Formats: sequence, structure tokens, C-alpha cells
Amino acid sequence: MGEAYSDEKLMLAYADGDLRAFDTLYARTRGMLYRFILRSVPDRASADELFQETWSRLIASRERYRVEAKFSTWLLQIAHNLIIDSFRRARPQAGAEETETVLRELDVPENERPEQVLSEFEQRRRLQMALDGLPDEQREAFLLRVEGALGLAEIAQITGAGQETVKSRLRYAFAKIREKFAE
Amino acid sequence: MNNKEQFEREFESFLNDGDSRVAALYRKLPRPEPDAKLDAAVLAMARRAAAAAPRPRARAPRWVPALSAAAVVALAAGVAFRIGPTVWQQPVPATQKPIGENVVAPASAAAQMDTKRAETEALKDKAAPQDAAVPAVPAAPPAAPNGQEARAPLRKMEPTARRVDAPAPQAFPKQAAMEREKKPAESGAAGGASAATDQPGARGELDAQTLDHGRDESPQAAPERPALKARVENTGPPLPVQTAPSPPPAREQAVPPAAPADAMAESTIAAPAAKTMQLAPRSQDPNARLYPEHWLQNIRTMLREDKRGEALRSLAEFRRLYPNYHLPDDLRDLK
Repeated sequence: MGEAYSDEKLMLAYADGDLRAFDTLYARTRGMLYRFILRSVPDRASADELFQETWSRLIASRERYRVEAKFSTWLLQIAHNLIIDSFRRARPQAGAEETETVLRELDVPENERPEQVLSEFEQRRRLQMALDGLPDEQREAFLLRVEGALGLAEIAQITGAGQETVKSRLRYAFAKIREKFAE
Repeated sequence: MNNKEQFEREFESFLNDGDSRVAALYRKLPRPEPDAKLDAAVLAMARRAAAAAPRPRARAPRWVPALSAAAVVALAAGVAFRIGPTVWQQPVPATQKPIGENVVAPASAAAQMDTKRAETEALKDKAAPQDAAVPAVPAAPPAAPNGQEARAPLRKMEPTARRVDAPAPQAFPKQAAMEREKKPAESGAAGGASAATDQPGARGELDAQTLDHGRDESPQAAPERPALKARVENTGPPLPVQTAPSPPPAREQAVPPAAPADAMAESTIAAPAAKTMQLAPRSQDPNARLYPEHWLQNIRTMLREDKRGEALRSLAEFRRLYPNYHLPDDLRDLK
């Protein structure tokens, strides 16, 4: 199973019992999926659990797979649903007041703080902190865009929101992260 | 303004190409991956699932369903060809409730019965035009367009159906009589059990059983009748119909005229079918109501009593009604 086969064909081949197809498919998508999950949940243990559960769901429903969308969209949708479920189990939904507090903190321009020029390491650390500080919907939309390389329509399909809503979430997320590095 | 325009440009680039300073910085973040243990767990899970799942079924060739459908259609057509006419032309059993009381016959059934009645009339007129003892079956009106209107002609048919019901119960005694006729010719020792039936007492019991049997059997045998009836009509001679002006003795009333030998020998089921036979010519000879062997016995009695002319007429009538009957030697050459 080489690169010539699309993810969708590989998934269909695995549904027919071809294990090599699954190996190839897994090798292609494991990193993207893992990072999406890892940056969506607070700790690595939860990420590992959700990662394995995502593949478990995929394997269980392999015979029902139909090529109606990109394979990565389907895979990330499974992961998204599991992440949402884990959020609901782990903590109460953030209220409007909490969200406002986070946004106020993020609104403080980084360059107004008495800090010296940031190293690349420091930039990555701040990016990670900015991501962590984003509301879940914005962070998820941002991760789906940069990690999953999905478009607005696909993100809207996964998250169940309208495309304009997704675009607005991405705009807010992009603005907040960008402000972190504004000079 | 410039900042806003620059932001919009970067954001559009981020949306469309995934290319922006933020995206580039994101790609510089560490790229964690699942560890080997996690990979092994997932791959093992996939293998277990593939091993547990049944192998995909080999798809049957496309011609198999088409061939199956064709075979089913052919089979259905064959069955319909065999039993269809029986079902479609099946009259309502006359021995059940009077026709038309609570059964609405379809117009097509009424039309078929009308056709049969017309044929019966034609044959009656041809076979026994002089017979005035039996009232003619009234001409049926044309087929009614709906079931409600079809009730009237069916009610009119009721007396006829009841009248021709009577021959049904004698099917089995008739066959026994035929066998009795044949056995003495083949071996003289035969006749122990069959002779017993000739005793008056035994005959009475037999008649009672026969009547009961006929009553019980009639509804069940009804579906077979049309086809069998047609077979009897085609192969056997016509049945005599009771025409005696005076009421016969009780036993003879219960045992109406016999069926011809061919029809009797054909099947024991064929005789009940004759219940609905309406095409039999009538005979003015009162012996026509009797079993053939009794009729022949009466002829012998006439000969003994020097009523030769009457005996010859009766024998001629017997030959007309039972052309295939194997006459005894003493009567075969009687002229």
C-alpha cells in the first residue's frame, strides 16, 4: 500500500479485511490526530486515552464507512465528539464570566509587558500558552485548520456549527494568538 | 487601518492557504506523536477486529438472482396452470349453505355457472327432449357486474344444485359393486365379504355409512370437483338422473342412480365429483335408479316371468346408460 492510495481507499480496503491498508492509514494520520487531541485536552494521559478510543470507534464502525467526505474529516469528527464528551465529564462548561476573564487576560498586549526579546523557544511556549488560553471552540477550530488542514466547510461539518460561525471563531483565535507576538 | 488591512490579509492567507506567521510558528511547535506502546495497542486492536470479523462474502454472480427470479416465475406459472382453472372455476359447494345466502359470488363465477347451465340445458334437450318429469333449469340472466346483483341467479340455481347433490354418497358402494361384478368372473371363491353386503341388513348399514361418508366428504372434496367433473364429462358416459314420478323406497332414495363403470373405475374420487353432474341424460326406466347389478337382476326376473319384451327394452336402456359395462354372460348376447 503505497502513497498512490488515498486515505479513503485505504479505509475501504481495511473494511474489507486488508490489514496492510490499516497500517498505512494509521502511519499517515497518527501524528496529526494525536497532536489535535493532545492540544485539545489538558494532559497527555487523557490524550492517550482519547487517541486510542478514537481508533477503537473507527475500527468498530469500519464496515459502515462510506466515502462521503475526506477520511481525515471523519477521523477528526470522531475525535472531536470524544473530546467534547471528555470535557463534559471532566469539568463544567466555562461560564460567560470565566470566558470574559480569559479574554481580558489575552487582550493584554505582550509587548506592553516589561520583557526582553523572546527566543524562539519562548515564542513556542507562548504559542502553547495562547492555545491553552483560547476558548474550546476557538482552539478546536484553530487546531482543525492548522493541524488537520481542513477548510471552513469541513470544520463546520465536524463541529456542527455554521461556516460563518467557524470563520468567526478562527478570526478570534487568530487575532489572540497574533497579539501574543505583536511587536 | 494599515494594521487592520494587514490582519485581514494574514487571516485570509491563513484561511485559504494555511500560510501565515502564526501558522508558521505553530509548525515550529514540538510535534508530539503517540508512543510505541500506544501504536502497538491500536494496531493490535485493528488486527483483532479484522480477525474476529467474518470474511467478506464472495459476491454471487449477477445472473444468479436473475435466474432465480425466472425460475420462481416459471414455477408460479406452472402451478397456476395446474390449479388455476380449478380455483377460478370452482363453484360454491352445493352441500354447504344455500348459495347466495351469505356468500356473494363474483360476477365471473356467476358467468361460468351460467355457461355451464346453458350447456346442461343443451345436452338435456339433446339427450332426453321428451323428459318432462324434471323441470327445466331456468335460463340464467347475464353475468352481473357486481357481486350484489350476482346473488339472484345463484339463488335460482339452488334447487338444481341440491337435486344433483344426491349421487355423491354412493361412490364407494358403486366401486365395491363393480369389484363384486368382476371377482366372480375371475375366481368363484371370491365373494365372502362382498356377498355380505348383499344381505339386506348389511346393505342398510352400508347405505347409512355411505350417506354419512358422503356428507362428510363433500365439502372437503369440493375443490377437486371442477377438474374431475370435466374429466368425467369427457371420458365417462352420462349419468342417469332420478326421474321416477313416485317416491322410491327409502333405501333407493338414499342411493340414487349409479355412475357408469368407466367413471367408477377411474377413481374413487371421481364419483363424488359427479355430484354436480348436470349433463346426464334421463331414463324413463325405473331400474335406472338402481345399482347396475340390481338392474340386471330385475332384467333376469323379467325374463323368468316371461316379460321378454320389457326385459329387452330395459337391457337396451341399460346398455345406453352403461355402454362400457361388462355384462354377464347370460345377458350379453340377449337380443
